[in-house]
Amino acid sequence: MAEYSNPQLPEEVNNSDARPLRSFFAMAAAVAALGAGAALVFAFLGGALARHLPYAAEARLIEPYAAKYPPTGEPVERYLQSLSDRLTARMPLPEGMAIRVHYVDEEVVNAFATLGGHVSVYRGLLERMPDENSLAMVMAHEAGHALHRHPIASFGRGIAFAAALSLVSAGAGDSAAEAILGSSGMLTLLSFSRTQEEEADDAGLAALVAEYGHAGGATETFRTMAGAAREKGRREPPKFLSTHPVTPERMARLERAIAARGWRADGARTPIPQAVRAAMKPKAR
Amino acid sequence: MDALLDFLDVVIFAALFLLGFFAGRWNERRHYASIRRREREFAGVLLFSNRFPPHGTGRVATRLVAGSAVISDDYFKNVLAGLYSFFGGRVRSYESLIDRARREAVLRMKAEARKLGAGMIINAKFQTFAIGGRNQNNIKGVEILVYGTALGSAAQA
Repeated sequence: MAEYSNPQLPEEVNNSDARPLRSFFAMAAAVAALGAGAALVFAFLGGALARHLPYAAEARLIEPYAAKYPPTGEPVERYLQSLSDRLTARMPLPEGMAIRVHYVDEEVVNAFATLGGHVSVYRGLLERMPDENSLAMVMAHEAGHALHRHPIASFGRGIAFAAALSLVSAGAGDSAAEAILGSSGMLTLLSFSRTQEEEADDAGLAALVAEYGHAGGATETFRTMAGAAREKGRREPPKFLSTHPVTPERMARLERAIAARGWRADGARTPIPQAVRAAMKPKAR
Repeated sequence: MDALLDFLDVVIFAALFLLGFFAGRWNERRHYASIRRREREFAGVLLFSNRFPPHGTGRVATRLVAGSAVISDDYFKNVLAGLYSFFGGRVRSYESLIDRARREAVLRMKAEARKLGAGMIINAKFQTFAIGGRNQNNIKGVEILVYGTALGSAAQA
């Protein structure tokens, strides 16, 4: 049987996996690129579609959280609410939308708008406002966000992104959703794009001028904030600045808008009532 | 630390992935070294798929011999195979499993034949069985069974 033999077969015919890591990274990169593309589309659609959610649905969504923060009836909050009511009466708010103001007795220098037309103003910010006009600009700006449905758009975008992220990692998706919803349910982390900030600026400015007859305080508000950031000895810059970046372009934009519409740049300022100033002194604890 | 917990599933995945890659590669390299050594050792036991012995074999003793091997995949190969299933093409990460199982099974059969004093196996047939089947959560592995007829030397007839 010497004429028979079994040949030694070449290895690579049956086993060609010489560079498994390279194959892995090539394919994983392709999958990651597809996933990232899908996440962006998701986030865009979430943001774009959420704007068209009826306002009533948005209010229902936030109701369980809002119920935890009923109107306090304190003088400061009553004052802020009445100021906001006067301003929003001059804004083209969507059908059925009402702005509800919450006063937060904390040192934080911030104000934000969230779902359901809820606007929160912190004592830290209020104390720094030189007059009512500047405060009105902040309030009208926040109401402008609500007017343009920015909170729900940001919320929708964030949730859609979290959903896309959870396809990769359930844990990371959960924590992203948690960050958007907030552990306290206050939805303080909604972030707005530059375009959205500009829209809110425009809406706010128009309401400010309509109420007071001039644009006094419009840019001052942001300058005050920026000044507070530069103040010596402050441990941290006002939180307001991280959500409302004060850039020269933004100031210039506001000033251009005032000039273009032929509005009076300044006029008689209305002070913040002394009773309100007195009431917002930090309580002795 | 919190971030680590948030991404716990990713961390676990990475750990299994690295374990699968390094342990799997190490195991495979060792197994291949052993397969090549034994293939040279058992090169004298010839293997044919013909149903009948070669011409002029004469009367010899016949015996059924069989060998089987079960090789498991590892986490890395599994992930890689999952990626191949997206894009199609050769599932290269599983090719080595089948290759190793087939060669190991043949070697075990040849070892049995040699123990019987046979110099040739004819009518060799292969069967494969996927352990774990199609269930995603089951252990994935492959069994290859080879059996054939060992022909003793003429003197044993």
